[in-house]
Amino acid sequence: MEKSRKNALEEIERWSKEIKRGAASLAIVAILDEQTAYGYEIVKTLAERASFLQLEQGTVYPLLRRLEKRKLLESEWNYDDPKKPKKYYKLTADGKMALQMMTETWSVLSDELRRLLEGADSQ
Amino acid sequence: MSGSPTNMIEKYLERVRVYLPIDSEDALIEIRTHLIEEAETLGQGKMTHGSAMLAIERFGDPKEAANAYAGIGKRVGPLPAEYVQPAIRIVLLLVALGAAFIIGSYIVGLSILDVVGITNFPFNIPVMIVLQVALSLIYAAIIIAGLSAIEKRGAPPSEKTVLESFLGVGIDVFKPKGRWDAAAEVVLGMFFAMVLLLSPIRILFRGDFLLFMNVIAILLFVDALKGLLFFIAGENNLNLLLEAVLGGAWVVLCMFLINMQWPLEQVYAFDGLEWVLIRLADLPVEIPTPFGGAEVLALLWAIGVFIVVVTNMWSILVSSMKVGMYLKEDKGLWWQGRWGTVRHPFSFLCRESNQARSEDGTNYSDGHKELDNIDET
Repeated sequence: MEKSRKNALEEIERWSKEIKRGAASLAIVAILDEQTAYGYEIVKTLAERASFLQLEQGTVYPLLRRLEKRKLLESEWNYDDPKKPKKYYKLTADGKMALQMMTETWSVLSDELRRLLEGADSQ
Repeated sequence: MSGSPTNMIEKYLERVRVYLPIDSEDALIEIRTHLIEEAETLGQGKMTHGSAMLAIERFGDPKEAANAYAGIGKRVGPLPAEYVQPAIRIVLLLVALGAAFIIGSYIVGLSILDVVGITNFPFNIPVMIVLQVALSLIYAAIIIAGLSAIEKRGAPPSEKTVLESFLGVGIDVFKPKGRWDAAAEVVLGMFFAMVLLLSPIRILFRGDFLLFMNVIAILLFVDALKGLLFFIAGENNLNLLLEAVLGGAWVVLCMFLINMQWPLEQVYAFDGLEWVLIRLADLPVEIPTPFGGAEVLALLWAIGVFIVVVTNMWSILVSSMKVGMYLKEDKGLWWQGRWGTVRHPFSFLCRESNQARSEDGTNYSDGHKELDNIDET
């Protein structure tokens, strides 16, 4: 029994990581669809509104960098406070389109999974 | 000791920088802003030593943070993936340094192999540079492998390990020029250019050197202009290209200068009543054998030219690497670039006020205490 529980916990850990990996990009793009924001703002918003993701602070910046490289985001430096220059990110047209498609895919996925799980429950 | 909270963050960033590619200035600034804001949030509006330490710890191990940023590369030979970026930087530096010395030696008519007693060896500059690359790779691999084998960690996250201190060699080379350094270039360039154009100075030199003095004055003026551009706009491709071209001009000038004799003919001396000109040849100075005065002056002249060539070759190579790096980032020719860390010329007058030393460590204003002796086990 103990061994089964350990296996299940290990599996959930692996599965959560995989889910979070994909969901984090969607969450960041969704946040930036609402408003432009800089790294720390995004980190804080994710912590408040997407606590499930439980992203380590250092992992958000590489994600932003990758999304920018893929042209889904663009950035601009703001030097209003010279001690704390801020790199503001915003969605590009490609990013908006990607967000729309990601949202649709996510909806289909979650609907189908819910139906599948409801079916499993009823049996 | 870690010092002020800001200093702690800077030290942590230096550790992250060690593992990042050389074109990561933006990433470091972004992380710095994050750490300051996080430390201020944790310190309820005020960055304290304790909140800075916590913010750093939350951000994670510098090696992992850097690898997350740069992407975990591939293992190269005996080098673990996380050490590939520092190794690339060290090899680049060694190669650039070697190339600068080889070309400098070549221009002053000196073969490095002759100096070490190897003569009639069929080496030329390209072959020696290839050899330099190979040797640099071997050195870097041996040193990194050796140091990583003996590496232990027990210091706070803001303190560099022994390995990181080595891996960080040459980091400063790739930092943008500081604004005060640029200002110094403007002032010194203008000053020396004007000095070279003054008649009381020009009469000290040989007649055939005067044309070159004009060229040197022009190059110094352009150097001052370059300093001004760096002062105004920080580091960008136009400024770096100007630095490289100017370095090239100095090297070309040196190719002419090396074929000249020692140019200073006279010096000023005060005879008790007034300043008079004295010819160097008339000075009663005895030069120890086996050299005569002319040979010593020729040697000094060759050393001077060699130093100018090496420093300018270094400048050309580093500027070229940086231009390549910025072009890879799709940056154009001109933009408002950055300056390096502010090195205020009077910073030695400033004192850290937010910390107080105690016998066995440092007490900070927020009650955090850092011990001097940290168990290294």
